[in-house]
Amino acid sequence: MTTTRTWQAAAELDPTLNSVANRDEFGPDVAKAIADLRAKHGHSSVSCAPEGNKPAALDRLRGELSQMLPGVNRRGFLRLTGAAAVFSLAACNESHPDTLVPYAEQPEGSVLGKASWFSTVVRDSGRPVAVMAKAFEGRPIKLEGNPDCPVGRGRADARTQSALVNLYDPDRHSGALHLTSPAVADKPAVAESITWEALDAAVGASLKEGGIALITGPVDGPASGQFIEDLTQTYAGRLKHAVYNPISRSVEVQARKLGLGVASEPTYHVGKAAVLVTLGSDMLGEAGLAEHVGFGDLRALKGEGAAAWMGQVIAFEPTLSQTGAASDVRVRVAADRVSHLAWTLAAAVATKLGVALPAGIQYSTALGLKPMLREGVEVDPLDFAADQLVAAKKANRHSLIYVGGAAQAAASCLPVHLAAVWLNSVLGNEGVTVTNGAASALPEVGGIADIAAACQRGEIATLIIRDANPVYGWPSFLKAMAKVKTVVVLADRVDETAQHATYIAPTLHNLESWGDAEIAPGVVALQQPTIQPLWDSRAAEESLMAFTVAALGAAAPAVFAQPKIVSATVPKAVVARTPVWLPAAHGVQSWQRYVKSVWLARVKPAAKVLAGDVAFWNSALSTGVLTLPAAPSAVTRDEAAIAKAVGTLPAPSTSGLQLVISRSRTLGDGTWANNAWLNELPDPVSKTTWDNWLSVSPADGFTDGEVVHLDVSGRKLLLTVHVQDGQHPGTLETFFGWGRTKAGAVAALSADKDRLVDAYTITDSYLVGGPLSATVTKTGATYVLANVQGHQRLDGRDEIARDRRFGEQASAHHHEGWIAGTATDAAGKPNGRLDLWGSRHAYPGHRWGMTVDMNSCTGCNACVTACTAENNVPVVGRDEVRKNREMHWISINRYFKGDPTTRLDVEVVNQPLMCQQCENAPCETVCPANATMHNEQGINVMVYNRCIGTRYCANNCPYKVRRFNWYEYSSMRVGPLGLDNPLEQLGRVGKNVLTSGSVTSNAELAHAPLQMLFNPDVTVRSKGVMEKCNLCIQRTRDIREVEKRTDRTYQDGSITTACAQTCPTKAITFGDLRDPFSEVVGTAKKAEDRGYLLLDKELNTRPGVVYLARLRNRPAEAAATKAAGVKEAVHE
Amino acid sequence: MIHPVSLLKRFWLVVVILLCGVGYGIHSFSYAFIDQGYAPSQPIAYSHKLHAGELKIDCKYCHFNAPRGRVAGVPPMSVCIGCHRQVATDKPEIQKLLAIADTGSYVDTDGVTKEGGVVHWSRVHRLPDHVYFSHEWHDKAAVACQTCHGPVEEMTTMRQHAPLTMEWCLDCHRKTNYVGGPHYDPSKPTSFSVGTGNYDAMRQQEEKNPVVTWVPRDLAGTTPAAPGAEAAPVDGHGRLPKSVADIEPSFATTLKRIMAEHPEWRDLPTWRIADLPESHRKLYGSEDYMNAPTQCSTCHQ
Repeated sequence: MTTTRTWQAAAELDPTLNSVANRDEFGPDVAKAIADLRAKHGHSSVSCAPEGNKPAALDRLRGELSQMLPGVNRRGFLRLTGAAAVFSLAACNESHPDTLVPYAEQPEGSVLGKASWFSTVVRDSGRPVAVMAKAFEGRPIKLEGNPDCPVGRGRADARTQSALVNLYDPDRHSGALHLTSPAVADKPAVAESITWEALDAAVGASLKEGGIALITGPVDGPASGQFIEDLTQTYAGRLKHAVYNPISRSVEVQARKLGLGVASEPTYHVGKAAVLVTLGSDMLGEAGLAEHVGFGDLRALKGEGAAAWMGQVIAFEPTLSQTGAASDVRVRVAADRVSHLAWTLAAAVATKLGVALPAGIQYSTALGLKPMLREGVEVDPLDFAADQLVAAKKANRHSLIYVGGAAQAAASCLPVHLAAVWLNSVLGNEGVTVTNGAASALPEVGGIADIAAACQRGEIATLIIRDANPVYGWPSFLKAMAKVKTVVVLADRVDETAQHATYIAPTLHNLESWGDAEIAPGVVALQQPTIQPLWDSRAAEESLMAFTVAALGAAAPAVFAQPKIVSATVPKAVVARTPVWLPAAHGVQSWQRYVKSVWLARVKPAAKVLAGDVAFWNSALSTGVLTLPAAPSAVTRDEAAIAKAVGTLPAPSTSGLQLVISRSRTLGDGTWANNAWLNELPDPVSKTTWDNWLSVSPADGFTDGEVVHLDVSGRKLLLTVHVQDGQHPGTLETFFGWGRTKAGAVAALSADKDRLVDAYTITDSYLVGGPLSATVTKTGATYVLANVQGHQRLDGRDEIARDRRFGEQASAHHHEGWIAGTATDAAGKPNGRLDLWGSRHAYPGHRWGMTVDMNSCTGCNACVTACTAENNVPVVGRDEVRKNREMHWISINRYFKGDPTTRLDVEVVNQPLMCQQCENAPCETVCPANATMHNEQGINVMVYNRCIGTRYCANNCPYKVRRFNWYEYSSMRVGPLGLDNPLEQLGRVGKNVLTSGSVTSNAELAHAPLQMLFNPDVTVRSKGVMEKCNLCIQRTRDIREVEKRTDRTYQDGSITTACAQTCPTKAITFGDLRDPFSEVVGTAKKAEDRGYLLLDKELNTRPGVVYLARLRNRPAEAAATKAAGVKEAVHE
Repeated sequence: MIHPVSLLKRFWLVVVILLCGVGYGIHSFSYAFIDQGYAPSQPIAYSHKLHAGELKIDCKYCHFNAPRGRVAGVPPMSVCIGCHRQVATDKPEIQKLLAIADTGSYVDTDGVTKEGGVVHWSRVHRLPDHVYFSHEWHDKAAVACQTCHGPVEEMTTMRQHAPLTMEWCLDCHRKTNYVGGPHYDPSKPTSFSVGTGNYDAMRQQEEKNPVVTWVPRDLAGTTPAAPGAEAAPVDGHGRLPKSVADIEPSFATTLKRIMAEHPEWRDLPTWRIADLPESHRKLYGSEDYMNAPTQCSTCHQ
C-alpha cells in the first residue's frame, strides 16, 4: 500500500532521485563557488569586480553565484542576499551610474520617446496573424492586430500578443553549432561552435549528393511558397519536402479530398453563420484568430426590437470545452459516440430536408443524450439541432458544422469529418461559411510519414528541419532521424529535435526577419523586421540559400545567388554583439530581395493596382496586408466516396474510460512553451496555470489534486486530477503542449526528465488525437495545481455574473438603468440610497468608461496578455499563483451555473473583471497616503511613489482587483522561484533572469534581453507597491497631448485600452461616458435591459464599467419545470 | 514604578537631544537623493559655455527633440560631426570626437570599450521613472530652457541646476497657474491632474511667445564674457576654444558672408520652416517630420 503524502511535482515520486533539500548551503560547495566566481572575474574580492559597483552588476554576481551552487535552501539564499547587500555597501558610492548613448544618425522622421509602428506578420504555431508592431527606438514592445487585415480587423489573440516574449527569450541560441556527438538517452549532446562559413561548407558538401529531405512548419505566402518550389526544382528529384504540424489537419484535408475532391485545409467563416454546431470539437480552444473574430460576429445582436436575432451555438461534446462554455445549448456525449452522433445528425437533417444519406453508412443511434426541455416538451437535442439547421437554411441563412482540432485529428476521426463535410455541403454552407484554404498554403498530408519511411530505408543523406520540432510531437521520429548521416536543424534554440542534429543554424524570430503569409484565401501579408537580430543568427531561408550556393557553386540557381559585395560597416547583433551575417558578403541572395522580387513579379500583377514598383512596395510594406481577388472555389460532393470511407462505424465501447487530448488552450501545441506569459495564463475553462492536468468528470469519484497514473496501452503519464464540472462521466481530458524539456528555463518548470506530463508521448504519431481508451491508477499522492479559480472571490453578494434567455423579458433587476443611476445624477443621493460621499466628482472633460459584453466573451485571455504587454505586468510564477498572488490587472472570472449536486450539466458565464473605476471608490477612502485617488477623467489612479504598501485598499476593494507586489516581480523572469522550491532542488529550474538595475548600454542588455520588452510609457512597479488597472492611463494621457497639439477634442475611437483593442470578439468597448454619441454609451444604451453595474446596488460604488448580461439563445423550458424548483446555484 | 511624566522630567534633555538627532537624520536623509549641482566629467570635454554662450547656437539646434518629444535627447553624433568635420579639427577634443565617429568605438577612462561610434555621455539630469515630464509641452508653453536647466550658456561642464524635486515642480506650477488650463484650482491639489477642456489660456500665451524662441545671432564679434563666468575646464581633456575667433577662420568668414547677403536670415531660428524658401519646405516636409538639425550654413558654406 502506498502511504499518502503531499508532493508538488511528478518527479518527486521517483525514489531514485536524490533530494538536495537538506544539503548544508555553507559547506565546501559554497566556498568553491565563491572562489570560482572570484577567479572568473580576476579579482580577490567579488565586490571589486570592474562593474561591481552597480546594483545591476551585483545582482548579476549574485545570480551567477546562486547558479554555481547546486542547491541552496531559503536560509542560505537569505545569507547570500545579505552578503550581496554588504558588497554593495562596501562598494564605492556612485550615485549616477547612467550613461546616455545617442544615435549615430537619428532615423528620419523619428522622435525620441515616440513610438513607430510597423506592419508585419507573426506566426502562432504556424498560423499567420497580421500585426502592427509598436517600437520605441528600434525595439518592439507591443503587438496589435493590423486594422487593415480583413481577417483580424485589428484584433489579436493571446498567443500573438505574447510573441514578444519569444523574441526577447534569453534561452534562444546564438551562433552555429556542430554537434560532435548528438544527445543519446540521458547523455547530453556535445557541441562545438563553428563559423557560418564552416557550417555552409559542411552542409553544402553533404547536399552535393544523395537524397535530401526538408521538413518545415506550415508554409504559406507567395514568396515562401515560391521559395520551397525553387528549392525543390534546384535539387531536381532529390529533395522531398513535407510540412509538419504537431497537431495535424491532415484528416480535415483528407475528408475534403474524399468528399469534395479538393485537397485543401478548410477555412471557416464563422461570422457568416446563424447556427454553429460543433461535434466533439473545441472551435474556440483550437482554432485561430479568424474563428474568434467570426464568433464575435455570430454572437452580436442583429436587428432591433421584434426583429432582433443572434447566432446560435450548439455544442455536442464529451468534455467542457471553451466553445461549450460559450454555447447556447450544450449536450454531453461520450467521446467514442461522437462519430455516431455526427451521422445520426446527418440522417435527421437529411430526413427534414428530404434528401438521402450516402448509401451504406451504418451507425448506432444509441447515443445516451439527455433530453432537453423545449417549451414543456422533452425533445432529443439532436432533433433540436437538426431543426435549427434546417430552419436556418429555410430562412436563407447559413450554418456551420465544425469538426476539427486535436480531439478530431486522428485517422480514426475521418467519419466525423466526412459527416461535417456532407452536412455543410447539403446545407449549402460550402463556399459561404466554409471554403477552401489559402492557395499558397502547402498541404501536409502524410508527407512526414513518407520522409520518415525514406529515412528508415536509408534513402536520405541530408535531413533539413526548419521551424519544426518533430521529435517533440512525434518521439518515434527520432528513430528515423538516427538513420540519416547529416541532420541540419534550423531553429531558434537547441530544442528536442535540434539536440539530435548534426548541425544547428539558429534562425530569426518573425519580428527580426522578412517573409510573407497568406492569412486567408486571397489575403496576403508582408512580414518585415522590426528590430536588428538580437543574437548571432540568420533567416532560415538565407541559411537554405547559403547551403545551396555552397553545394552547387556556380550551378546554384540565379535567384539564390548574387555577386559578392563586401560592405565596410557591418551592423552588430543587438545582444550578442557579433557582426550580423550579411548575405551579400557571401554571394548569397538576400531573403528581403527575394521576397520583394516575388511580390513585384506575382503579387503586384494579381493586385491589379496602378502603381510603380517602388510605390507598390512601399505601400504594401506600410499597409502590410493586401486582398487579392480570389477565384470562387467550385466543389462537387462525392456521395459514393463518402459512403465508402465511412462504411460501418465501429461500435462504441460500453465500458471503460475515454481519454480526449486537446491542444492546450494557453500554450497551444507547445511551440511556445517557454513563454512565461502563456504559462501563467489561466486556462479558460479550468483556470489552471503552469501545469498540465487530467480533467475528470465529477461523477467518476476523483478529488481535486489527486495524482494518478494515466495508462494508454502501456504508455504512461503522471498527472494531477482536476475535477471538471460539466465533463461527461467516463471521459478524461488532458492537453498537448506541456512537458517540453529543451525549450528553455521556463518550459522546464513544468517538465520532468521522463516527460510524464507530455501527452505527445502517448500518441507518438504524426497524427495525434482521437478518443483513446485509458485506465487510471491512483498513486495516493497529492499535488496542488496553481489554479486561480476561486482567487479574489466576489462571493457572498447578490448575483454577480448575470445571464438570461434571449427573448425573455428582462426581470426587474436588469433594469437598473446605469446612466440614469449614475452619470447624469446631480442630486448626490440617487435612488434613495444611503451615500457616505457628500459631493459628486465633477468631470470637466472626459469621463472614461467601459462596457463589457459577457455575451461575446469567450474567455480567450487575449485581453489578459494585451494588458500584460501594455502595462508591464510581471509574471509571478507557480508558487505565487498558489498563494493567490497573480498580478494580472484583468482577469476572466468563470462562473458555473447548474445543479450543484451533479455538476454535470453546467452553464458558464465568463466575466472579464478589471478595476471598476468606482466614483465612490472604497479603496480611495482608506488609503493613508493618498496614493489612490480619483482624477477628473473618472479614473481611479494609483500614485506608485506615494504607496507605502499598507494594502488597506485591496482589503476594502469589493471587486478584488488590486494586486500587490510581494516581491520585486518586475526584475524576475518567472517570479521568485525561491531556492527552497522543491522544483529547484530537483535541478529542474534554469536561470531566473534578473532584470533590475539601469540598463543603458547594449553590453548590459546582453544580460537581460527581456528588459527590452518594457513599455517605457508605464512605470515598472517595485516591491511593496499596490497596482491595478487604470484604463491604460498612458493612452488617455497621450490623447490629451494630441488634443493640446491639434486644438481638437478627442474623437471617439481614436484611442482605446489594450484589452478593448485586442478583444477578438469585441466584448469590451472603451470610450468617453460623457460623449452621448460615443460607442461605449451607444453599446450600453442599446443593451440597457441587460446592462448592470457590478455590486452597485449593494454597495453604491458607482462603477465606470457596465456589464451586459450573457444571453442564451435557446427555447424556453416549461414553466412547470421552474415551479418544481430545480435549485439553481452559482458557484465559482 | 516611576511615573512616565517624572521620568520625562528627569531626562528631558536626553529626549530633546534624541529628537534633534532624529530630526537631523530625517532632514539629511530627505536630501540624500537630490543631486543638485551634480556635474560629472564627460568623455569629451564639451562646453555649453562655448556653444550656447559664446557662439549663441540655439539650444534646440542640437537638442532638436525637445520641442517635439518628451525627452530633449542628446544630439545624434551626426549633429556634432556635421559641423566638426570642418570646424576646429585641430583641437584635441575634436580629434577625439572624430576618432570615435571614424573607428566606431573607443575605450573610456575605466578601460571599458564603448561601441556604436558614438560618445557615451554621463547622464546629468535624471527624473524618477514615475515622472512623466514632457519637454514638448514646456517648450510650447514658452518656458525657457534656462528656467529649469539654469544658465547653461555659462557652464563649461554641464551641471544639474535645479533640485528636480516634486516640491520644485509644484512651486513653479502654482506660481504660474499653468497646470491644466481653466480647471486648475490652487486650493485643490487633485485638480493638478486636470488635463482636458480647452486650452485657450495656453494658446494665447503661445501666440505671445512663439513656439521657437528667437535667439538673435551676433556673429560680428565675440560676446564679452559674463562677469564671474567659469574658466574653461582643465580636467585632463585639454583646453577648449574660448571664443568664436578660435574656430576655423574660413567657416566664420563664410557664415558672415552668408548673413551679410541675407539679412532676413539673420535672426532665423533653427526650426522655422515657414521662413524657408519654397524648395526647402518641400524638402523637409511638415514640421512633424523634420528632424535633420541642419542650418543654412550646414550646406551653404
